[in-house]
Amino acid sequence: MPYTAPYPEPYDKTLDNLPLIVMEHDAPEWFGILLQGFDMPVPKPCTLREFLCELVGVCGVYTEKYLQTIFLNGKAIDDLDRAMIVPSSRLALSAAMPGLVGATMRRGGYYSRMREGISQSRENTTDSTEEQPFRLQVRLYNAVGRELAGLFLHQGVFVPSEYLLKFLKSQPPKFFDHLHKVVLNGTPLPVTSSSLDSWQLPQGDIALRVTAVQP
Amino acid sequence: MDKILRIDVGAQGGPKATVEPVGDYAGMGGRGMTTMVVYKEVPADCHPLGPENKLVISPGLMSGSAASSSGRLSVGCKSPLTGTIKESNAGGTAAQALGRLGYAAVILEGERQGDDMYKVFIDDQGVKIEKANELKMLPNYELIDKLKPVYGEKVSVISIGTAGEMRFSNSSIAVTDPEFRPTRHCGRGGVGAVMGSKGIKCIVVDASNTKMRQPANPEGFKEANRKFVEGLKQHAVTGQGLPTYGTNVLTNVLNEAGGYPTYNFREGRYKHHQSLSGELQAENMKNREGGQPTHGCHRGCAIQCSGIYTDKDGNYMTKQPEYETVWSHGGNCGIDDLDVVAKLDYLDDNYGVDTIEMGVTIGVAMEAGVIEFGDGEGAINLVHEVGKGTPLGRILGAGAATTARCYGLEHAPVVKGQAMPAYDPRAVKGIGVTYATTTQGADHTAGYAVATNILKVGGDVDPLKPEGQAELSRNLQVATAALDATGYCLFIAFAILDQPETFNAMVDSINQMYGLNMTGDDVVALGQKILKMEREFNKKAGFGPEHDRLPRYFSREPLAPHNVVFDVSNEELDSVYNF
Repeated sequence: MPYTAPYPEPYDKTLDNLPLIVMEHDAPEWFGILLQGFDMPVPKPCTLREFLCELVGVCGVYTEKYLQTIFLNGKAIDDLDRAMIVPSSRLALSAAMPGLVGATMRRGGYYSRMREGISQSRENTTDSTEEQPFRLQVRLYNAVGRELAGLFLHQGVFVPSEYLLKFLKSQPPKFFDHLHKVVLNGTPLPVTSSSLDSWQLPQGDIALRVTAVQP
Repeated sequence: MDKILRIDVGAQGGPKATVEPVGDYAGMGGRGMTTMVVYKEVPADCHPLGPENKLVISPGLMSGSAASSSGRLSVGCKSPLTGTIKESNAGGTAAQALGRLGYAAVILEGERQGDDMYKVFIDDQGVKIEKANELKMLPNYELIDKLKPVYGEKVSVISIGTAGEMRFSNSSIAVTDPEFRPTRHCGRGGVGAVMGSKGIKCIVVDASNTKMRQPANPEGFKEANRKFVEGLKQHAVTGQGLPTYGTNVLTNVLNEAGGYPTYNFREGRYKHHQSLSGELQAENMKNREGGQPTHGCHRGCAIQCSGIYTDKDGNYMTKQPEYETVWSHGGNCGIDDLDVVAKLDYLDDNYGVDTIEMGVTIGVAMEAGVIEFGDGEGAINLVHEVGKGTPLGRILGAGAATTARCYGLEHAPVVKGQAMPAYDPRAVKGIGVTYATTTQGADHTAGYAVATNILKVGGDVDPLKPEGQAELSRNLQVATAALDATGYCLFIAFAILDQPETFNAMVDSINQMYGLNMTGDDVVALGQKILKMEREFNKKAGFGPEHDRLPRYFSREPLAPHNVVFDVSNEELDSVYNF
């Protein structure tokens, strides 16, 4: 299901004061950079529903119908209002999966009993009173990744600069036909595939934001 | 489908074919047929490779009709791998062809005389059986290349590779796909060895002069099938997930759950899972010349979960490897290269071995130190050893349990001698209950996500009550046994699980096909009947509740990252067959 709702304003405009690379792209091929997983800023601990709906902007039918398989710290999630996003959390979002195991992993599914031991129960939910910003590890898989990648890239993510370069170098020429602008800390960079080696990206994590092409 | 073809391989002067009415087996198809014939006609205490065993090949009840996704072919016998009854099924084009020719079953029986190999040709004019020693010890792809100039590409072929001819306990029976490649396999349980023991190299089925089977009520059938296809297409899994990514979409999710068995079931997560993911696999197939991410294993399938996998230069490598194959040869062996996995998949199909059993066996061999974990070239060499029948290959070709015994290892992830598939039972305990208690040895398809909530097998089940796992597993096994009899692919399960109207359309399609008035209760009764026959056969073959167990180390050794063990009690496991 294509995600069509307007994107909310990013919470952290400076993205943790890391070197910020902003790209203007027609977007659809961008899922690839997120396949490896990424971090993103979260202002304070919150429930999973608050995170999805209020921070990222994934609400309503999409959440209920399409986000069928969710893991938080490797535990299968059934209740979005009980699962807490706290410092050092790792979140994975996926569509419904095939097979009995797929049915077993589904949120609140008929066969969820078959995964007891790896489900997040009432007892093992984590709480946190520290109202500090933190980084959340996120994994987007399958159709959910394809459909929500633009939303998360709009919010801004942290990725190792070497991943970004490796990803860009692996892209076909048509990818660069859709890449209109790249700015690193306010300085424009050349946007052709042959110019990638001239990019002087700082080592370690950088902040990445991808915006739709400005009219 | 009103006739049965029996081939007596021990007849004087060579195998003889007899066609008889379906008789007492009327109303049976697929797993229902194979189980009933084996139950009634095969002595449970026989040797699986001896003359008393029979190989039963049966299209599902709906195969050969216009019903969507109904091309499954069942093969049954006493298994050389497990010693239990066995039903193994595959897609491909043969079930439709046999169905259109009116055969409810082909039964290979009797004692092979001499060392000759034979080929069987079936068309609308009858059956021909010829000596075919020129085909001896050909791998499946080369066999097909030899048959193509003789029969063309429109026929279907059921065949064994070199592993089946050498009667290895891990040998499969191949079925050709719409491109006339031997890519669909009845993989589990060593059924290829039984075909090899009967001296039959291949069965060529030509249904080109026949029409689709006609329903008893054509208009009613058309409407039911339309609703059924509509349900498949509108469901997120059958309509989008499977066609886009195939079953390998499960890699990332199982890894995230910590239930992805890695390094011979030592850990529940694999660091390089992304390199094996369905998402990457789909990208490869989309971006490489000749690749095709959406493809059906037989004509008329609405799901199209398969694909064609090519190398970087656009050369055909294999069909899209399934999740279990990518796992068994990939994460389980610490091999993080999809192209290496694709090569291994091709070799498995070519020599005719089950990809799950082969991958798990290589994992055991890696733990034994035969080669290192992660050694892709070494793994390829090991499969060649199997295909060529070297002394080491003969050990590996006998499966994971035998290999572990030969190398003095406890860590053989098997139940009743058959390797566990790609879901660690410590993380997903309900799957462990099915692995332990199924009549087939460890098998993930024995309890599938069939609509047990709609069928209400054994009444309403509260899946949240403590003893729910055994009850759920029982209901799944019953419902799956029934579905395996229809010829419908198990992948329809999600749509019929979630959408009662799709389930009803499926049952109605069977009713309109046969002029019946079957209800959900009748489906349950059929599943229970099949399971009871299988259970009874196994009991006579020496299998009791004490065999319905996982290896003890799964209860002793915690699985990272969740550090869970399999702790379902024996009492609960034994309660699965309380019906």
